[in-house]
Amino acid sequence: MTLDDFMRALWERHGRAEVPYTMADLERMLGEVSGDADVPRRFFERHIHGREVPDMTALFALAGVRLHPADPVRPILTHARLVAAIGGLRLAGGTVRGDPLYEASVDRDDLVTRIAGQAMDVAGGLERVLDRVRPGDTVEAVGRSRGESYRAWAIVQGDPTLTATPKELLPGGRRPGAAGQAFRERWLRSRAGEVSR
Amino acid sequence: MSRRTQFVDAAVSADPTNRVNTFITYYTWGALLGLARDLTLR
Repeated sequence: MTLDDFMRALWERHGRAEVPYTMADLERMLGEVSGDADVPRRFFERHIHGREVPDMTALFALAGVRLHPADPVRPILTHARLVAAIGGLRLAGGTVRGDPLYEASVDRDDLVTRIAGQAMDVAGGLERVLDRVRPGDTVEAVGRSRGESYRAWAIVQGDPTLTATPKELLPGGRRPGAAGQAFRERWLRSRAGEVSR
Repeated sequence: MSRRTQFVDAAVSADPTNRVNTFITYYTWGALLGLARDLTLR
């Protein structure tokens, strides 16, 4: 049983037949196709009507795939878009919660003039700072927001970007067991030849 | 979600928003849920 089976069943009952459906119909049908009404009910409650993020680490682990930070030692000060401006770098977009500049109360439209003593109005200024700091370091940011000058302290973060890697490719990682191997095989193999027209 | 359409769905709005912290598109969220649902069913 896969999501594909569900989508095919959905197509037969509602798509091809052109019968309108509601969220409740989808939930009921997922219960029918999977033979278990309880799991779809919880899934809809938590992730569709609710806003809970699924535990992807646990789900990928079923296939022997590890979800992990791609480059956690790479220092990051912000993911916001920065543009060169007169006197420094301007935040062209908003900062996201958890972002070092967000936590330092630096946000959209601010002009950052100096970070860790380094002027931001020279090419490569920010890179020069990032080259000599490490995640966990605190740096001073000097800037202007709506005409007011400020000083803020930001804690350098390790790059939180995640990647998924087959676990046997990671240092010390072993190949998945028979169950994990079979799961991965079924998940990733091509089914192009099975398509009916 | 429909109250945000003028800010995210190609309607015209010049107002600044805190969208980076308050909004995720159903493309991104739906792709994640589809993958999660598929891995859960298997």
